[in-house]
Amino acid sequence: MTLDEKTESEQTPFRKRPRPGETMIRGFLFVCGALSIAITVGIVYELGSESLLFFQDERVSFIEFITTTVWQPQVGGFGIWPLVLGTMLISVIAMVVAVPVGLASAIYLSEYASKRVRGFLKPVLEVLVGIPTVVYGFFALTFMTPLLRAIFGTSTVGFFNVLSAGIVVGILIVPLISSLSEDALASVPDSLRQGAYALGASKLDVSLKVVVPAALSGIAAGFVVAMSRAVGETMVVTLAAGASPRNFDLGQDSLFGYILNPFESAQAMTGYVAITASGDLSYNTIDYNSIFSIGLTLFFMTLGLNSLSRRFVKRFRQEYE
Amino acid sequence: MTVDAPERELQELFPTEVEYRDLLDRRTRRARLFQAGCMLALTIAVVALATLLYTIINDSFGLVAVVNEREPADIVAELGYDPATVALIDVPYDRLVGLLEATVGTGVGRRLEREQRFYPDRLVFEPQPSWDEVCSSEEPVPGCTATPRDQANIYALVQERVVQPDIVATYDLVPSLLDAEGFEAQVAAGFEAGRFEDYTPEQIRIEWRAWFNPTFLMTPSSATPETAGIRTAILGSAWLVAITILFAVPVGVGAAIYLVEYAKPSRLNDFIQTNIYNLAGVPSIIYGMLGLAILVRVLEPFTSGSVFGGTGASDNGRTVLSAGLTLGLLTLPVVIISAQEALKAVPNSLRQAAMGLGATRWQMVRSQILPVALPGILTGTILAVARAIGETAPLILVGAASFITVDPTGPFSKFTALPIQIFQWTSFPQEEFQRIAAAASLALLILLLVLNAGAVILRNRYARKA
Amino acid sequence: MTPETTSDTVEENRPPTTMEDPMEQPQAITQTGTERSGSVDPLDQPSVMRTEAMDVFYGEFRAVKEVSMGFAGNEITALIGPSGCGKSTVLRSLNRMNDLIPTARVEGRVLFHDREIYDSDVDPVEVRRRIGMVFQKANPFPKSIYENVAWGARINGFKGKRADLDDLVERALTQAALWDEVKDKLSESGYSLSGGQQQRLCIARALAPSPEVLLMDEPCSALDPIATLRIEELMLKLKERYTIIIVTHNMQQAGRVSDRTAFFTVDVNERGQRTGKLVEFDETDRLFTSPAEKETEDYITGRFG
Repeated sequence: MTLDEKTESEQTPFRKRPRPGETMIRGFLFVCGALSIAITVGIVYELGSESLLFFQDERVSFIEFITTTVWQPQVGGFGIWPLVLGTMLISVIAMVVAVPVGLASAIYLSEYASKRVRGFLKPVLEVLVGIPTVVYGFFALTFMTPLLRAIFGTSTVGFFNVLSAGIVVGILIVPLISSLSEDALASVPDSLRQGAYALGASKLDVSLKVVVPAALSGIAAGFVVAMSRAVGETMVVTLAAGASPRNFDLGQDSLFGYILNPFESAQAMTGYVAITASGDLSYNTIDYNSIFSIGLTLFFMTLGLNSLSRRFVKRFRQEYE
Repeated sequence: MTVDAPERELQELFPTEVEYRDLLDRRTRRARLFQAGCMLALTIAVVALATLLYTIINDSFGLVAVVNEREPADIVAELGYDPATVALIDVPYDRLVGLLEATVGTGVGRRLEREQRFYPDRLVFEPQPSWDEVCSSEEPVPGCTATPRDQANIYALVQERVVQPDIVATYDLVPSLLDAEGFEAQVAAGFEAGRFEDYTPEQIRIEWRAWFNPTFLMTPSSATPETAGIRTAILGSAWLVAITILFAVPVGVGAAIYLVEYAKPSRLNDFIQTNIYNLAGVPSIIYGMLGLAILVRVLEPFTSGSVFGGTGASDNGRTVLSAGLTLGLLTLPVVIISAQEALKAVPNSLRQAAMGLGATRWQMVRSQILPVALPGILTGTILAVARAIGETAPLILVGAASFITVDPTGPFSKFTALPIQIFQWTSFPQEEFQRIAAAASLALLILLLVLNAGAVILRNRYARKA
Repeated sequence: MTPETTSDTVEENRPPTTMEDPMEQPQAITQTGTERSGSVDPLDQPSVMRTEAMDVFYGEFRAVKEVSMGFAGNEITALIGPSGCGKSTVLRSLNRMNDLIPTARVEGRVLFHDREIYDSDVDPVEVRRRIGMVFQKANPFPKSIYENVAWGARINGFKGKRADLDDLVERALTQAALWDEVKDKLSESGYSLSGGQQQRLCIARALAPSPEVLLMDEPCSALDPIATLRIEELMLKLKERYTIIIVTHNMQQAGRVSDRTAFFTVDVNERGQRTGKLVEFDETDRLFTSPAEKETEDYITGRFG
């Protein structure tokens, strides 16, 4: 075939051919990706609009919501602080349990353990995070609470108490801390360790004074992720921490005897939502709307924590990549 | 070695041999303590896990003190079978229905039948005309459309209505094995204390009970813990998982493909990526709220099935479909992220080779990238699904039924799920409920173990091939 | 090549539990001038460190065999040879850095001031305090320049106050020829320096705890020629205070800075395993101008390696 006999499109190669199939596929895939934005929009919109309804109700005022310390819907008390207090008490106890256990485990696995031991123990820790939280709730109620009551006496420890929920949530989040910390520790270049050993440092010196500080932002990211998880945890706190918000009065109530008392019950934000939703819930009641305002608060709290954690990770990556 | 004066001063600030030796000893001791501390921490974590598993297994088996209204062995004998070889559950369906007929009143019988029929082709308690009337009315009963009962179902009924076991005291597994007399003493003490007023000591039998047993898995839920099973819950969970996968996997993998293979760096695509990471960290209960507000409420015509004209087992949006989609939304970010990892792990050389041969992007993705990334995607999906199975909070929000004994029949049925069942039973104070909660937890854990083991095996098998 | 151990003066019957201060110890004369077989002969003067028939194994694989040599005080000894001949392995065995590799094992003797450093009651931490190391690629800590230098002294029990520590840091940085360049930015990160400066920082760091011996593992291989030259000048000054043992793949460098040179090469056995061995150890001038072994001569003249 001579050049003249070829058709035009063959004569001028490399011209862009329209491929409708490709475009469609690309469009479909884009929609899939963009769906995630729709989800976020949906969450924010729903939480926002129902919360708006909540605040528009005459019995509720936004100021009251963020400043008062009594949450008792039946009598018109809509201050969020008792619920936040419950959540924070549990989360702090959880972190107190999980940080030492998680970080020390990570240091051991990363700096001390042989490859075989690490290969065995890492999956064991991962199992902890795979257990459904409702089973943890069962565990808190049937093992931890009786244990605490046996240790501290049934008069000190209530049947629903914050300590039991906090400890169990702590156990739940240990793998988050240990896994992320261990990844961070392992990413520290070995040359740093060698340099330290060559100066006459012991393993303790190297681990604590060189490796951990070098991995600090990665470790911090792990802490924050774990905290965020603890804040959002529902089932353990619903089952074990009780359904009565710890209403308090800063002026009157004793700080350690009542407000921060870990042995008494205190409903958390997530617990309130779960209990309210599992009861009789009709749309457009104030109870219905209240869950969304609590949800909105929760959403912002975890969003803040997660963004913080990602910023730590970015800083960590910058140092080592 | 010459040392100048100022240097000698500095030298003197270093420890002498003896001091250094002491220091070294102290450092060594501290190092050993530290190492021991780290090992202790690890041990604590492992012990916690072990304790949890132990608690569940301990609660799932053991001795019980039970009073049966009618002993199963007697019933079997009455029906004409040999109790030594035939168990109550093996008695033919018709005989059991007949037994039920003879035992319960017509009112109760009709109620049971309206809930779920005994036979597809004939009625037992209700005359045909009134049945037809009910079924063609404005509000038909579930039994009109539900599948008829089966062997496990009728056995559960017989247990509940005829045998009527009443468990008055329970015992943990390990004490049951090691100290059975302790339990007898406990029961006897209970009598003294007047706890079992309704019964006499002779009525009480102490027998071994496995709360977690095959029948437990096949029996539908019931109000009495002695006869309750988790069949409805398991089926509910199965439906949920199916819907979750059907939604989350195509959309999730599609989004991942877009982000890894198609998206060019741009503000929008960065935003999508950040957004996905954020969504992965949102607590599950908030997804529940999203599901409640939008799927259950706003989209009620769709999710309840009424837009499709079905009469449906339920007339509101609290259906399996809503819950499944909610869980799908929840697992979507996780599926996307793990699929992204799997796709990124495919070496770039493959892409370049394919494109270099003149393949379009989709051709490259479909025939070169996806097959290689598939095991990783599959593993990620299995893990995401395993997580979804254990989720409870969103289901509470979306309206899992608090008590339901009928198996789900379609996407528009009311439903319950395994974690929900555990949640409810745990909330009841009676110890028998604690036992079945433990048994159900054991079932859930085993299921998850199987799923995770499958994921690991899959990953290893394909990692070796690579 | 058997080592000439006429050394009955090596005091093996004294079981010291301490690494004694060399100042208080009469130096044991280990060798009289022996015939120059051109082989692994220790020195004709007291050695700060020496090895006797040292083998290094990684698991079953023998990386280096039967190294016997001595390192004289206030001298620079260079280890040269083709790649894979085990010179780095030998260097790392001198301060027990090979201990960090689980399968590594040393046989034979390694003596620091006549004390066997691989004895079971010797803590490797202490060995490394006396014998410092600089690595091929600069590895400063992610801390400030000041902290980098001060850290080694701190963990080794430096008792001084802040002012004393400042003096120590200044001294170390001066000895490393870096002080003038960083004295105004001591609180900046060690990573803010150039490659050559970082390596000098690592040298300062190694000098701060006042070791006696400084091991340097190809310290200039990652640096440009100008930075290399500066470090070579530095080495020549440092040997007034310290004993330096350097591994280098650059023969000319060995020729420029070292007093004594040891040439290693690879032995391939029947099974194809490559084991390093010491071929010749002599004063640098003599080794380079009139080597005793043919292998040495071949390497130096570039016929292989």
